[in-house]
Amino acid sequence: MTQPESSAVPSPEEGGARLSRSRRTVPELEALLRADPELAPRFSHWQRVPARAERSRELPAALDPRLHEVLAARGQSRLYEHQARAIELALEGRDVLIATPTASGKTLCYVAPLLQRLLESDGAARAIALFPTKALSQDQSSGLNALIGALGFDWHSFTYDGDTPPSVRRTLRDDGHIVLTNPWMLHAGILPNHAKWSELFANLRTIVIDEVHTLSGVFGSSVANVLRRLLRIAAHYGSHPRFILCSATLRDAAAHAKRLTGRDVAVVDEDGSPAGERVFGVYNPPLLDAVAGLRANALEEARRIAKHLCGPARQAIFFCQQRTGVEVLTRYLKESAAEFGLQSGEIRGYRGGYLPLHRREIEEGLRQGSVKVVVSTNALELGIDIGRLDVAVLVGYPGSQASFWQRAGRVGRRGQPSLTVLITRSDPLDQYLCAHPDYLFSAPRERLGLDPDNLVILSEQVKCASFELPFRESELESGSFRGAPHVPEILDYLAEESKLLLRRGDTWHWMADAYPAQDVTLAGGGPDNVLILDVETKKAIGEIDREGSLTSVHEGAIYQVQGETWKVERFDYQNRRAYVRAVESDYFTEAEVDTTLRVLRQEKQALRERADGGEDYAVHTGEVHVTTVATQYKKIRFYTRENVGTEAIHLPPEELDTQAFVLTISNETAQALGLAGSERGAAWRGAGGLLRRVAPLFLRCQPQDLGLSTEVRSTHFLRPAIVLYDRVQGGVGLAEVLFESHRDVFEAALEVVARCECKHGCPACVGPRAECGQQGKLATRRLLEHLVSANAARRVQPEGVA
Amino acid sequence: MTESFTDRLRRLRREPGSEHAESRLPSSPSQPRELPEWLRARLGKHGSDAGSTPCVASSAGAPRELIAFEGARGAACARVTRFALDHRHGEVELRCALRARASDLALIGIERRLAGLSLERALYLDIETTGLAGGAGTKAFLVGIGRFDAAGFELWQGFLREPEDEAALLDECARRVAEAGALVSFFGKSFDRHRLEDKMRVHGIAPPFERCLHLDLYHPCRRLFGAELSNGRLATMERSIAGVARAHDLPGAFAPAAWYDYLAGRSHRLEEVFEHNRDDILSLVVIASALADLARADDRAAVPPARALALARCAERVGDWRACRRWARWALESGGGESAEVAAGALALAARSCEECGEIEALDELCARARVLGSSELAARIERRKSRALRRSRTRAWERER
Repeated sequence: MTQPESSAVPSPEEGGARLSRSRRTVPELEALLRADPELAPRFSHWQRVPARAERSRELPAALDPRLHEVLAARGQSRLYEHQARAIELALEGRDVLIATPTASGKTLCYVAPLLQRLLESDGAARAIALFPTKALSQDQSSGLNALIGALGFDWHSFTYDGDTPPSVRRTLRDDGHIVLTNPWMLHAGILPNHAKWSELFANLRTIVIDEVHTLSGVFGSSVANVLRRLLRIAAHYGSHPRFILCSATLRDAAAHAKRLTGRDVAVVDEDGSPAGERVFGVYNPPLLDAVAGLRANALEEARRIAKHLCGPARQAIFFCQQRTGVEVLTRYLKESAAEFGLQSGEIRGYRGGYLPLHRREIEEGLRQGSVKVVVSTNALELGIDIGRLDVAVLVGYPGSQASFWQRAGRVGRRGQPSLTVLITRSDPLDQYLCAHPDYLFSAPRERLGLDPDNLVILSEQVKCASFELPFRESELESGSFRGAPHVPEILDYLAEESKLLLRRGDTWHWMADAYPAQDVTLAGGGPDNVLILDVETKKAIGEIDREGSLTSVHEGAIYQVQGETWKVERFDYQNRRAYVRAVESDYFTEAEVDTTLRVLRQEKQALRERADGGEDYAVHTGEVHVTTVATQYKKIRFYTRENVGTEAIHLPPEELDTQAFVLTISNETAQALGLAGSERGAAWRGAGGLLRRVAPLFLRCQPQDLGLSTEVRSTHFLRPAIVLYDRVQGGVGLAEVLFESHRDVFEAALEVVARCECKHGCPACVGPRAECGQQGKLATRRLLEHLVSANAARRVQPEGVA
Repeated sequence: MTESFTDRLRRLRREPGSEHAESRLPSSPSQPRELPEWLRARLGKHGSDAGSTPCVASSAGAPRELIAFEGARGAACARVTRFALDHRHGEVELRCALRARASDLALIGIERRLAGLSLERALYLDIETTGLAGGAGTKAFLVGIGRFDAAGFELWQGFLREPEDEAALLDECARRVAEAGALVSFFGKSFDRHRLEDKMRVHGIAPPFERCLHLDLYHPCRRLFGAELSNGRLATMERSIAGVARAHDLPGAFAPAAWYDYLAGRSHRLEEVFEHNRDDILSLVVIASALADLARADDRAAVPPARALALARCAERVGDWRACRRWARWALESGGGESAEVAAGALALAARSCEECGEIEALDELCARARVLGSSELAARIERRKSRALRRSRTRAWERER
């Protein structure tokens, strides 16, 4: 049962601690935590996931004998069930999605079919593999080349990204069999120059996309269109590639894959890899101020827990939400190194922004076992190979179930038990999970918002596509853009309004001296974003999206980066630049905005009736126009929150056309619930804010991706309304998912408010009393209780729209 | 009041003229009345605006004198213009190209392979495109190809009358280039060739360039005249090298708009683009012959030392040691003293070529000159060359005896 001794020889000055710690096993660690009189009561939940036996079988018979040989030589004469199944499906020519946890051997699922295609075609077959980060593609390339080398062929896989020197690009284009790249490079570099890649496109057999669970929102919706463009070009050169997709465990995996690729994809999601017993602990930091709902700092708590968990005989990983968190916790842990029986160098921080070489060195240290403790951001969440570790500590819920499992998946060696601790913060989401740990361990609940047909994104991508090849009417029936709405109208628009295309008969030709992909971003914002420039160094210190700029970089605002304060001297609204100067400010600023919302079109509707037949409440989706005006800002002193002055903001209003989810209550119900007068406004605000904050339990987004507008009497609905809208121009599907999951969201919100120990509202539920009023918490609770009692609303045809 | 799709898209794309863009004007006095720059940039306004080129000699309809041709990939059209051999372009007659020696071209092009190229049989290529941005959306709408034939000089200008003619036009170009096997261009190795090659690949036409000799005049011009001229543009080169002065040249930047105007049925300036392309091609002929002439100039006074040194360097790169020695000596003698840098470069090259040619005695004199120049380091290097050359000649003599 004992773990192997660490190879490092204990040095005299740390002797005792190192030796005594080197023998502890994971179950003993758990026992230690449960026995600690201070920490034990704060563990609100322990969960044991029993060990899972390996399910494996012989290599698929369809696999080329040469691959059999090479894999057997590497000790892989048997494959996990899911690997074998995925490979078989891919070899049958199916589009496949492998949705299994981190480190379950997904790489082989696409590597084997790629190599088989190369073998079958005598080296003619080509493949493109997309990874979300450069580091991942480089990682994969070396592994692939080793396998190709073992096969004994002169084939090449290579990474093609911004770091590829122009001098070698040509060689790579002509001689590469497997191109490992990322969606941005594909969009702006490869597709618009497809002629240079004609060899690749003419023989393209496979498209691999890794980590497809990261493809949601604006980015995912854009990538779905980049794939349409890719398939369109492949078809032009006469190839019809198949997809192999990899992802973390997903809800509605097939539906997501279909929206992303436009194809019916076979899903393989039964993990056949073995796992030792897994122990999970949910740790809720002590409440410091029950009235304010304030809990002890999660980083500090991580440090306390670390004293039991870190040691020379095991490897631990700490995940922080922010880069600064990584730095602070790394420093804390290094300071305690001797106490852990470790040397300071065995404890490392890891995050984006470190030099690649430095990162490679830490990854290597983790694989070799010389690094005992690593503190990381989500940078180690994706599939970089660092081997499996023993203990994971998540400082704060990472915001999605998928991320939680990706992070937890970093631990668990073959046949050995592992431990994962989640430290929750005073945030509604975290507190909900504390009360409802079953959410974490149930099947995935989040849906991914993805809307390839968002008209803004679609029209920009159709623009890029028409640059790449003339657009023919016949494509609308059979091409990769078939099924996308309004494509001919978009093309006509680009021809007549934008003057970018020329229509000749049934074909639209590109007709401009421009390179459109350059100006089309995949992640939204782009040219609308505001660049924040330091007036002294003339360097950019940050960027902020169009909507956020109004409240964050108006003149006089205090802009904060990692604890440093900058004052905005000038906001050049027209040219999207904010000029800031570093200042030592003892206050921060909070802007007030006035949001007016107009419903342009109602789409879906569901409603519930009261016993007397009248309407009780209703939910809707629809298109809305949102006008946001920043009115004034308050200067608020740090710590005391004392208001030290108010100034006006002079900026034009921001306009947003988007999709929204709307909850309306009939006036009768509002009355019956006793929600009247000021209490009513407080309840709407409290409930609206809370719904927005718990929504990420069921749809993959950040709370700030949703805008909120609450109206005691909506001018459109003539009754109280809470509107949650997608903060992306045109919307990317969030409203739709909210509509589908609204009941779950209501229930979760109620759960949070009902369980919260505060009196009148706190940051962990409806927000502080100052914001939602004396009765805010109570009123919110009453409203939510009413909504989730009895039946759910049922779908109806929306009434006629003005 | 149902909104039309166009209006909806315009509104969602936040384009000008949409309902909200106007409605927000009164509510905010500081709202700019003009569309913000970043938004205009995003929308990519083109076409009609770019179409309003300064109209001097515009016309509507298809360019005149187009002849249709039919190939394997369909029909397209071209204009053919003939020139007599004594046609002067600038100060040079076209016929001058016929007396150029291939070895001279290899020397100025610093590529031994070019010794197989003849200015009499090569094609002179220059294209007009819809932009410099590159990428699949850029089209070559005018491909000018000049060549000598029994009766003089023929200029063939293949023209895209319709976007759909592209495959036929490119196929014909590929055929012509493959048949000739030799090309002369200006900056064509970096631009024209790749534009055509990319487009040919898109249409599944095998690009002929790989097997083709290609003399790109840009680099020799830069090498030989770069020091004397302000920039490397064709207009600058043709004026200095061949005395070409264009009267009413349409700037290349207007070419895309001219073609777009033509396609859209507006009045256009394509005629000027044809003329511009014609002049470019005639310039290729006269520059190529002027450079070839330069490589066997016999009037030392006409060759400034820096250019003589540049020629010596070309000769060094192709390993033509006799020519190298000759040019290095010219650079030394026709005033090497004026510039110490040129003199030192010329001495070093002269020494190297003497060593390569086995003229050991001459090295003594060069060594002395280096001392006069005050460069003991250069002198020492020449000394080492001499002893190395001596050793080598002794070894050779010994081998001969055996």
